[in-house]
Amino acid sequence: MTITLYHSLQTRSGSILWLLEELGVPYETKPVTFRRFDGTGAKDPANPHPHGKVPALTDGGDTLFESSAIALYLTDKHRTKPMGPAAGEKDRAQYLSWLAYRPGVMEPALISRRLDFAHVNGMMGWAPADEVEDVLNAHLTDRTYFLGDDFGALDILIGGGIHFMIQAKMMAETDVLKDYTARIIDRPAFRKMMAA
Amino acid sequence: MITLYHAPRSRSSMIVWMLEELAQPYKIEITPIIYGDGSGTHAPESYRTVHPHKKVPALDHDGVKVFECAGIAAYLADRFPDAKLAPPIGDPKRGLYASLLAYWAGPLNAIPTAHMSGWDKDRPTGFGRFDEMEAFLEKTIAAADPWILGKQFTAVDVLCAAALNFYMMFDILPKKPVYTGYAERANDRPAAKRAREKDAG
Repeated sequence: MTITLYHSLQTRSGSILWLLEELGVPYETKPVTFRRFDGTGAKDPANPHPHGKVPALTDGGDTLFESSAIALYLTDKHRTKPMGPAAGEKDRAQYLSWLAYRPGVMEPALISRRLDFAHVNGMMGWAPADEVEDVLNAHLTDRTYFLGDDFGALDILIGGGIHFMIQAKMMAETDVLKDYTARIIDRPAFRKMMAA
Repeated sequence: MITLYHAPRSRSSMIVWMLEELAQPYKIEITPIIYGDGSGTHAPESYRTVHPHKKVPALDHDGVKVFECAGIAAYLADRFPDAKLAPPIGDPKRGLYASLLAYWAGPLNAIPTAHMSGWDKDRPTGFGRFDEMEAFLEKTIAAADPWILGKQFTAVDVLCAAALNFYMMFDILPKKPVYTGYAERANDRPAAKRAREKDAG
């Protein structure tokens, strides 16, 4: 069964390509266009994502969309080089919490701030962006990688997200985040993603 | 022991429902939060060790901490497989299950929030379009037979039914028969009824 990643250059699907490279599993990419924020581009009818966004992924008969779901699915299935704690392992609860945090809190908070959407406590399911920055900085202060000593999928989904958000000036480059992102991008799989 | 950090009639109410479906013993720790109308109080700083943003829900299971609705639902469903609230890893329905959990956490929360805040009136929000979300939701709910993944009621049904209840109550989603029929079916479950009684205090 071949894994097919619906991919678009320099977009969120890059993180799944990075993860697939880290896992060392064979896959193919299917380049798709999507409707970009600036209004350019169009949805590709071949893309199974409900909004025609990337990433989406098919694996045999399985169809997946949303980065966190794809990461969970891939890291549960491919255990030769573990990229996330398995069900029942110590850090599983933290893994699932932070996988939900990325689409549920981190992304909407940072996007909202960028677009000047006012935050109302209790109304939004997420938190104010400056608080998200505080939480991520505090979490990464004494950790080598997101869940501790080993590089894993959260370093791609959240760590990679931090790296690109800093580049896009959507997050402040603190010393903690500078050291951390330097660590996570110094990897062959990251370079492969950037070239793909 | 499972402890749920809960604020009545908030997002954590759906985890009370989830725990009732699970049929595991648990206790509820009432936790102060700021509600959408500005009422309520902030949780004490000590609560930050449970939830990094001092929000609800959060859960402690024998010292293991979990937060975010989708994270908690995914954790509980996998941790207590006898309740069959998740297709097991390797099951053909696992991919859709995981995708819907993440879709729920992301677009299904952010897009309606943007819509009710009027952010999407004259420009794209970056979260995705409301009409496309609704089309996908309607297609997903219409295909529920009787539940989203088929015969088996899962964590995805708890989260989606809770979202439908909320969005229909605030007229963010129209009360289409496809939504109301599914929501009534879900709300009619004994665990859902017990959860509502507990939530009411």
